[in-house]
Amino acid sequence: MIELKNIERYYPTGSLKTYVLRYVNAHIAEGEFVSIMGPSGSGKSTLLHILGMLDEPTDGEFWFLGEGVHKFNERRRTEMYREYIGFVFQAYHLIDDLTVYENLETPLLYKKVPSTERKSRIADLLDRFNMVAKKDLFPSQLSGGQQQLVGVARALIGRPKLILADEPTGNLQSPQAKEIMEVFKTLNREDGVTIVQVTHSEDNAKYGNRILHLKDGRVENEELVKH
Amino acid sequence: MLSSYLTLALRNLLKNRLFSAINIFGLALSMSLGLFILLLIRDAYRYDTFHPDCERVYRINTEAIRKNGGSESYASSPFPVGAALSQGFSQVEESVRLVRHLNGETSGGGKILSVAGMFAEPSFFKIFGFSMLDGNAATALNEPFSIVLTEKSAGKFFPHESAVGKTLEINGYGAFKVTGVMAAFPGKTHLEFEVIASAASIPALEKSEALPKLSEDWNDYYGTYTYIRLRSGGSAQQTEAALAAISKTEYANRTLETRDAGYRFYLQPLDKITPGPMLGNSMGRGLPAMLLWFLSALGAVVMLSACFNYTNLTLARSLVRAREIGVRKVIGASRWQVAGQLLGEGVVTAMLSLGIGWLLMKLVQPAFNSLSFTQFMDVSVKEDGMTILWFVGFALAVGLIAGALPALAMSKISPSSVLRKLEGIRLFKRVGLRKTLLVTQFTVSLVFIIMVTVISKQIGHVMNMDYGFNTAQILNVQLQGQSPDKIIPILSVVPGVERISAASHNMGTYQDWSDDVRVSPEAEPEIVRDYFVDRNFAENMSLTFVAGENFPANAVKGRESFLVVNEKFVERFKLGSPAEAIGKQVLIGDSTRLTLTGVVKDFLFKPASYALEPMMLRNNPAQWHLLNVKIAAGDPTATIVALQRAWSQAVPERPMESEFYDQTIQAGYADMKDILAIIAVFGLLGIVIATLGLLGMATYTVETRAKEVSLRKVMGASVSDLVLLLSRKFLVLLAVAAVIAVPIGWFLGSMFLDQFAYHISLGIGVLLPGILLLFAIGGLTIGSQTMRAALANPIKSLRSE
Ligand SMILES: Nc1ncnc2c1ncn2[C@@H]1O[C@H](COP(=O)(O)OP(=O)(O)OP(=O)(O)O)[C@@H](O)[C@H]1O
Ligand SMILES: [Mg+2]
Repeated sequence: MIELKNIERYYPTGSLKTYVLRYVNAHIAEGEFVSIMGPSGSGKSTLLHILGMLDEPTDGEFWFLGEGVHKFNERRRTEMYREYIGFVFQAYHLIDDLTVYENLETPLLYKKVPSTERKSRIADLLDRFNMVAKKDLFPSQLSGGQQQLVGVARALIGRPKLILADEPTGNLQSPQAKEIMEVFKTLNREDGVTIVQVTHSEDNAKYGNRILHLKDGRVENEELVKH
Repeated sequence: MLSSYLTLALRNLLKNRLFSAINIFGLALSMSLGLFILLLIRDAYRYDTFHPDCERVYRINTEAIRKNGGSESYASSPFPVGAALSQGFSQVEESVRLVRHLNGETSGGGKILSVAGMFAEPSFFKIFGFSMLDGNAATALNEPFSIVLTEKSAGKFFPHESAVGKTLEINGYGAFKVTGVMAAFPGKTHLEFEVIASAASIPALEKSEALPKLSEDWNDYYGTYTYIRLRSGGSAQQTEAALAAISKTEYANRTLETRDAGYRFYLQPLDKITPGPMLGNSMGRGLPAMLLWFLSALGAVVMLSACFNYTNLTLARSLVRAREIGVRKVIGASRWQVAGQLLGEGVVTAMLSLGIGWLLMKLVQPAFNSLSFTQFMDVSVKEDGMTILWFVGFALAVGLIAGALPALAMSKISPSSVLRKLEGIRLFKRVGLRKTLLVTQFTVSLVFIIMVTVISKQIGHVMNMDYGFNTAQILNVQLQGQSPDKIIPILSVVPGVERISAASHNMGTYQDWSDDVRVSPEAEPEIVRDYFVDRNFAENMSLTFVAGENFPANAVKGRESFLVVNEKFVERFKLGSPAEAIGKQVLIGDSTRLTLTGVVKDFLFKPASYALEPMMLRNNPAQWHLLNVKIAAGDPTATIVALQRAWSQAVPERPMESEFYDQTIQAGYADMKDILAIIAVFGLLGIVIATLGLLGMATYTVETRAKEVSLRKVMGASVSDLVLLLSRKFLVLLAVAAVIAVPIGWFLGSMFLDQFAYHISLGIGVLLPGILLLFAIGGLTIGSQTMRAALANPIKSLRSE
């Protein structure tokens, strides 16, 4: 699904180039659950943003589902977000002015999903995450864990093939974090959704099947998780 | 999607109350005027749409080409043109001529009323879409001395009986038999008449000199309106070519009017007459197209200014919304969906404003109706289903215009903004745009203020100007066709009356009488304005003789033979010194030879827009239409009542018509006062809107810099340091606006003043008050916000971070 070849990302600092990522090669197959770990500043987020097409590598190749991402224009990228990619953010990033229900509905509206199907999909997800009672509340009326559940639900609602999550549990207490991780695991196992997450926690990382260790912008080693 | 945009837009509006209030209020204010102008425009375009095959009907207008190179267009044309065209040119299907000289005291059904109408050929009812309530349209205008009434005038003369078959006696014209009554008009028309008499009466009336001899007269292009309908497939262009040929042959060997070099006839489509260009002799009281344009232009300026507020405040807040937009893009929104949402917010704001604006319009309407030009004009704004559509369409357009820039700019925000910390990013280098909009608003406001100052000062100037003739304590009494020999003795014995003089028409007004003047038979005649007055006139008006004397006392008896002129006249006709001019002969027209008996000191006998020109005072009682009654100082009320009593004893059938001379002259400036009122209203709105915008921007700036202000304060900045820090940029913008507005205001102001031969000078005294006002308003607005921030407790905003 994802093919990274010699990805480089640097920021110009004066006349020097400060490399955040260098010589990054990786292959992520459909159905994998990959965790990215590494010390602060090692380039984890940068890598994830490149995968999410929110940032562009300064050099190297990025192939997504067999297509070269460097050739994508804005419209194609929007299509990716609608059809293939779901994001989960550390800061949730729900739309404050919308209720839980509306937050879940918005991606479907952009995808022009017909109204009856919208209703049933949202109802399903609310049910699955035990949020039915909260559907008319605004994000500010929810706890952090609940907000992140909505965030995950929103990422899932468009039935993406890939979920990208940057420290999805970074702001949460461990029981809530565990709940989110369980959701990811089920998604991966039962629905075959590919997941790439950045995390600082060994425990969270173990939910996946593979761990990429980043250091100073390079993949230091890869570790397969034994279950 | 739409409903979700809607709810979102509404929530957004509620969340940012101050900004929403500023936007909605400003838009509503300007919309109230915009809606009203829309109604006016709609009303103006409802004229003459009911005539059959309207698109093939034209009026033949005359463009008189003057010897001095200029030209002037008239709605009227010479009487013979219509027939000449119909004879030689096959594309004319139908034509009708309307002759305007039908008005006078009319008796019928036991009543005497004054009536105005026209003579028309029988084809009148074939060309125009009027129908008969009573009588036969096909034959009603066939016979001489037949007359057709409108439903309204029939009701006035014969309220309880059928008018057809009755007789109307029109003073000076004779008896007319009523052959028909027209049904109420199916719509608005530019044609003005209460009665239509048969054109077949014209030859007899010309013979009896009740009408000028116009049916053969190619030089009289004032008295007749000619309308033609072309055959289907007929070409207006070919018709105009045929008219050009007629003009060429007919005028080849004719002596034209003194000032004219030739005439061009052209076609004006019937449905383009109202609203249309200003023409001489034009009929109809629809708003002139010029005025509609003027109002629309002012309306558009104010409307745009309100849109700018929306644009500005929304762009200013784009920073706050960047993350939301990033999130939307990441969950699949395309650029156009984001733009659609932002436009939707503009439209929702505009729709809310529409509601409030509509209510405000209801308040504006009575004020508009009180303007003096609407009293003359036929304005009847109506709201119907269509207007509601127009209104909604208008609001939609406003919303789209207001929201366009923010939508374009903010929809560009990249999805990666979702990742960034808000304070860290500088989203737009659009500050320049916002500044430009703000400066534009204030420039426009200042131009308005300057214009209002200029016009009101000029009005004051002309009102208080010394015309050089006395109007104080003079009551002008209309003779209404009564003989001055009968009325003067009756009125002069009324207590409180000092002196009575007689005149043809009023000085200091736009009324114009003139004649061709030569001092030797060989000379080219020149047109000079004249007034027909009596011996008392000069004294009543306090005119001073610089040479010679008044008309001789016994002059009135014989035929007209004496003349008094002003100094300019002596100069223009090179008669030497005023004293040398006395006794010289002056030829007027072809046959009148007058002896110059006196020269009066120059004075302004026309409104301030006219330069001083030669003038003649002539002595012909046949032309007197009014009396100037000089009333003793003190309270005139009792004298006026006594005058009215004396009048009604002498003329029981009609009440006295009188007006003080000062009022008559001031009424001549009513247009100007209307323009002033209109500009003042638009200007006031412009200022309110610009100030609201400034308030919004100042509030926003202060909010976003609250932390910086607190830090500076903690570091020891004084309140005045902080106020200055926050206000400086805005003050610079105001100064820029002033620098741009002053030359524009100067230019427009001089353009306006150039209309007047006598006007104020445009100096600092006129410009400065506006500039000071602008800075006062702007300064207060900015100051109120910056002071608030500077005085706030710094701990608060630091802690909340
Ligand atoms: N706009 C930028 N300009 C310059 N350097 C940047 C920019 N954005 C990120 N960096 C640098 O790139 C490096 C990697 O950043 P990144 O956010 O990928 O780290 P991370 O591994 O996610 O760290 P953390 O665990 O703290 O989230 C950091 O050293 C950071 O300073
Ligand atoms: Mg990170």
